[in-house]
Amino acid sequence: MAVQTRRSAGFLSIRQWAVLAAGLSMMANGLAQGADSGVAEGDTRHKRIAFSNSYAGSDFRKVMVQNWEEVAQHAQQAGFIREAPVVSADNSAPEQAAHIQNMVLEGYDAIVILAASDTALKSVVRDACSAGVVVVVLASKVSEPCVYEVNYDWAQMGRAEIDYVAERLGGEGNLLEIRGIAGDATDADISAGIHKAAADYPGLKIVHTVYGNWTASVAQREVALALPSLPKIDAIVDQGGDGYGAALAFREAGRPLPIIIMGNRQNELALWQRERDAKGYRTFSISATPSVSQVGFWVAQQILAGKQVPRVVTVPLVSIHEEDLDDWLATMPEGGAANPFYSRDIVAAMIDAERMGTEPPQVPAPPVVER
Amino acid sequence: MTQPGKRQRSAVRAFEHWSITAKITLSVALLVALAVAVSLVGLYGLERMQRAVDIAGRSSQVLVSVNSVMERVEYFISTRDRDSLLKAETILGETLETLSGFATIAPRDTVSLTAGLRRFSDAIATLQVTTDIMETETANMTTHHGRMRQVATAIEQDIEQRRVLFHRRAALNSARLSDIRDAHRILESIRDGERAAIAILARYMVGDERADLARAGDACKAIRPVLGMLDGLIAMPGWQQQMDSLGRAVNEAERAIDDLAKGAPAVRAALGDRALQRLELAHETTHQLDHMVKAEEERAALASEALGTETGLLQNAANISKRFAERVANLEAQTLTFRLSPTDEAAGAVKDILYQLTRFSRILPSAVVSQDSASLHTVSDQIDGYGAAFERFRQAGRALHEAHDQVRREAARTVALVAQFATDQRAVAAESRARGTWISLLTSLSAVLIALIIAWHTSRLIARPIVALAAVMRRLAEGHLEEKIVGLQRGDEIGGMTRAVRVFQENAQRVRALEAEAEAERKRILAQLEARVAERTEALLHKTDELELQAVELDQARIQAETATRAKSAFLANMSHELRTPLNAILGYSQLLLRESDTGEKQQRGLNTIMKSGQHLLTLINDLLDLSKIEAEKLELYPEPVDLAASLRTVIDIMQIRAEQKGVALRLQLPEQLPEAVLMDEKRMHQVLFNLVGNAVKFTDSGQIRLCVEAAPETEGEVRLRFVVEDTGIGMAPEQLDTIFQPFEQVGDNKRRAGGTGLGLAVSRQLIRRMGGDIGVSSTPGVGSRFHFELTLPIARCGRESGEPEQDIVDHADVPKQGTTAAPEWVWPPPQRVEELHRLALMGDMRAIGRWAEELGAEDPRYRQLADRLIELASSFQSRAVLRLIEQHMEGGLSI
Repeated sequence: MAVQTRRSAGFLSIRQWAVLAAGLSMMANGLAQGADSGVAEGDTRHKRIAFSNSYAGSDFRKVMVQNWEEVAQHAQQAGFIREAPVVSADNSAPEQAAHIQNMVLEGYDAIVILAASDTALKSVVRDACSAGVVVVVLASKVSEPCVYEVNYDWAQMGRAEIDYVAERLGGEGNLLEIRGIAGDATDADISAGIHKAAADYPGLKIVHTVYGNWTASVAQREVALALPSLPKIDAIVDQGGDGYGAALAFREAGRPLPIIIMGNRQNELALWQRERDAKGYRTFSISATPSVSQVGFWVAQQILAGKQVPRVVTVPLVSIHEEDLDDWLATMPEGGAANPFYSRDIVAAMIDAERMGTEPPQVPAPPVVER
Repeated sequence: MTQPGKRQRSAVRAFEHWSITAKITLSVALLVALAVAVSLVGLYGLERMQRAVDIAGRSSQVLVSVNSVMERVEYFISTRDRDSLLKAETILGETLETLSGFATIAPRDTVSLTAGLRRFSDAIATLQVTTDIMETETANMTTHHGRMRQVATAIEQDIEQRRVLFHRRAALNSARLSDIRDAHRILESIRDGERAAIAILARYMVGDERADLARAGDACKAIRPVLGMLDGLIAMPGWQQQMDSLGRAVNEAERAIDDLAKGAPAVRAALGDRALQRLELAHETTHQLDHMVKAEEERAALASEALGTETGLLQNAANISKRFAERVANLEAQTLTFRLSPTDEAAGAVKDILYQLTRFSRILPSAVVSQDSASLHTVSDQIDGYGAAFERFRQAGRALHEAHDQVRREAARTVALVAQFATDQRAVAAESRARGTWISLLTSLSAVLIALIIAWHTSRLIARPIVALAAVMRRLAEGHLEEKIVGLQRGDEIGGMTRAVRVFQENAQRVRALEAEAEAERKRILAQLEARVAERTEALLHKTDELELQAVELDQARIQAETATRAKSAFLANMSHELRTPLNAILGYSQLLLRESDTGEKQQRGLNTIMKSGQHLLTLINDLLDLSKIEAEKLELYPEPVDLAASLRTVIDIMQIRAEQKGVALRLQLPEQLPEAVLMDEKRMHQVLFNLVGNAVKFTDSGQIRLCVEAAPETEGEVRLRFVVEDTGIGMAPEQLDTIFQPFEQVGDNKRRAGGTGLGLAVSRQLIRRMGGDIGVSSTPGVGSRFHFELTLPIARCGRESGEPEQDIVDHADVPKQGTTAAPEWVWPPPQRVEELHRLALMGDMRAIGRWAEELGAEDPRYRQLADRLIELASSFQSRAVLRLIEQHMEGGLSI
């Protein structure tokens, strides 16, 4: 399973990221006058943070775990924490609940949870909170008031896609929606955002919906099966990772490419680049990244260090616009994906932005993750 | 006298004529015969006892063997150890052999015992046979059980293989169903596309301007890749033809639609019809394909159903085989339980399981059972075989149990038998021993009595005539030579002895006559001898008296002489001292006066005369003193480390003046290897050398005088030195040489004699003698004289720098005795007692001195040391040493 979303609010181009980066350290230093803003420097050398991951079978999750381990090692060497291990369940809520119980018993100071279920873990999470453990729920939901949630704004992602399509089509056109996995909460959130935004543009019609399982091959097949009976499609709104498959299906059916909203994979970005160079094809990319685990790590660390953190911390989605495309692709290997590295300073700035209701900060230069 | 009495007496007399050897031999023979008889009786008793003991011992051995066998049998029963059973049989065999040896001793007793042991052996053999049967049946059961297990395993493996096969088939069927579902979706998609295209075309054909021909074409184009998805999904007859037909229809429709879009309105109707026709054909074909897929779907569903049924059956078979295998395993466990505890209950459990297995075997899957293809065994065969083997095993078990009991019974019976036998034999042995003891005692007693009688009789026969003969001899020895001797006529050894005594008697009578003559002659000679001895004795007594008188006189003369000498010496010593004191005063004052400047020449001459006369007198007195000391043996030497060369040079230096005055050369000649220092009395040496060199100067008018020292190599801390004083003076005649060493003797003319005392050489010789040497002289008148002496002196290693002699360097014990021994501080009695002792010493009565010393020692312990010394000297008759000791004490106050 892969988690892939984006949001329209706060997605910035590389140049915008760079401009914001320059002011970030100033912000970190300048805003450090109060205990509530900037990086909290409380002593967390002896603190232990655990990551309970619901599933590690997909590439996305593997990279996510790898990103966690990288940041944990870095933080350990820098003396921010004592240890930060990862335990993955096999997409089973009872197994994950057992893991969390063990972590509470072993006396971890904070537990970061990527939940397998938003309801099954409620009681164990409540017990953890009662035991004085800081619980941070990452890119998922646990309906328990004591937890801190680090997540993307999925509804905003759908809105961003519709806004862009509407702008390009002048508010009129047929849309094909490619969803993720039927029954998934994130899939429902993104789809809801799309449909809600589309309602604002009466000229835009979502003529058909297929489930591409966030996988290019499945998306290609489903789109191909739908195409014989479909009218002319002007744009495809999707959830990331399926733009490439959709494009192939259109090409095989001998149809021109509609506006396909791209994700963060290299293959879809490269196809976009080729089509742009050949035919002046235009679109944009928005996506969630696996390095969101690092945001979860730093949020937990900052809470332990004494920082005032709101119950929900929104992580900005990574978006790539036409002008940034070449820059991103220049450093991205074949089969890779856009995956920024989150530092403690950036996460502290994100927390502050959330508290003050301002624009979230940017990540540093675009790093690349091997796939 | 009766006839028999006569005969008896003559027999006794005949016996008396036997020799003693024959009599003793006869007696010994009788005693030996008696001893043999006693031994035979004893041997018989011993043999009986030994046999009984032997039997008892063997019985014990048999008992031990039987117990050992029983132990091994019990061990076998508890452990099934075949070795112990074999060992038991071996022991039993050996015991039977022992018994067969036993039979020669007590044949009747061993028969029952042997029979008992044979029964015991048979019981053990039964035990062994039964055990063999049990083991065979156990092996049979194991074989059957193993085969049953093989069957169970084979069935399980078969079922497992079939299960895997079913799973594969189910998976394949599932994939097939999935493909069919996909095919449905694909065909649905194609149908949707066809419908859309037909709808658009129909609208176009009726003149609807909104109909979008391009969209119809797009739909046809989009169908092509979807059609490709069907490739490989379904495989059935006619499928591919239908697929091809569909593809062609779609392509043609697409082309017709293209032509229609581009074509003139005139041909539109025809083109439109054609396109519609093609699309409808395609639609029909799609429908056909869908039918085919549905048929395929039904077949797949049927196959699934069949698979389900088969799986159920397979599961059932698996359950049965599993339960069968469980019971096979249980059978082994129950059999083991039975073997450990062979109760009817356990046997019932085994039979129950066998019954269950029989029932299961009827519904077991029909799998081939044995791995051994050569002999096919059915499961029932194995179960029946196992049951039969178990039954036999059980029977054998019962038999074994009975055999155990039998063995135990036989063992107990044999043990009892052997024990009884052993007890009997022990009783026999005890009885034999008691009887043997009595017989031995009785025979021994009678033998002793008989032996005593024989001994008494024999001794009486032999001893009585000897005793009589001994009495005769005693009388003869006492001098009763006329004693009558009887038994001269006896023929034995005693007769011989009696005759010999008779000869002795006659000889003795002859000797007595001769002795009487000899006695008379001896008495005559003795009277003569006594007269001569008396005469001689008278003469000797007279002579002895004379000699004794002479001895007393001589002794008195000696005492007087010695007393006179001592008095002279004391007088001289005292006089010398008394003379020297005033003389020193005279000399001292003369010297003082000479130094006075205002004395006149005449006075000075007078003073010089006084000085010279005084000096001469002093020398004379000193010499006299020395001489007297030497004679009184009171002169003592004081050796000390002396640098000999320097000392000699001093002598030369002093004498040099006088020599030069006379124009005579005086030389000192020393060897190269002269010791640095020697131990000697320098003063006395100087005295000797001054005397010798002075004499040389005095008697030499021209030429030279030489003092020469020669040294022999040093040995062990001593050096032998030869001193020579040689001059070229007037010399001496040979007859003078004898007297020059006598006191008051002088040679040479009067002029030269003046200034000499005549004592110098005498003193010198005495001094050198005291030092251990002697002065020798050789001289030739008119040529010169040569005085020489040799001394052995200890070498002293002294520190000349410090000037202190290191006395410790030389051990005084090694110094030759020079009269330096210091008398210990003895305590002496009062003077009148010493006078008494002195008198005894002068008389030389050592015995009286010894007694005197003993009395002194007993009188007061303070005198003990002195007394001991005196006793020691007296007992070794050192009369001179005693006298010296006493005189030293008496002259204790004498000092010059």
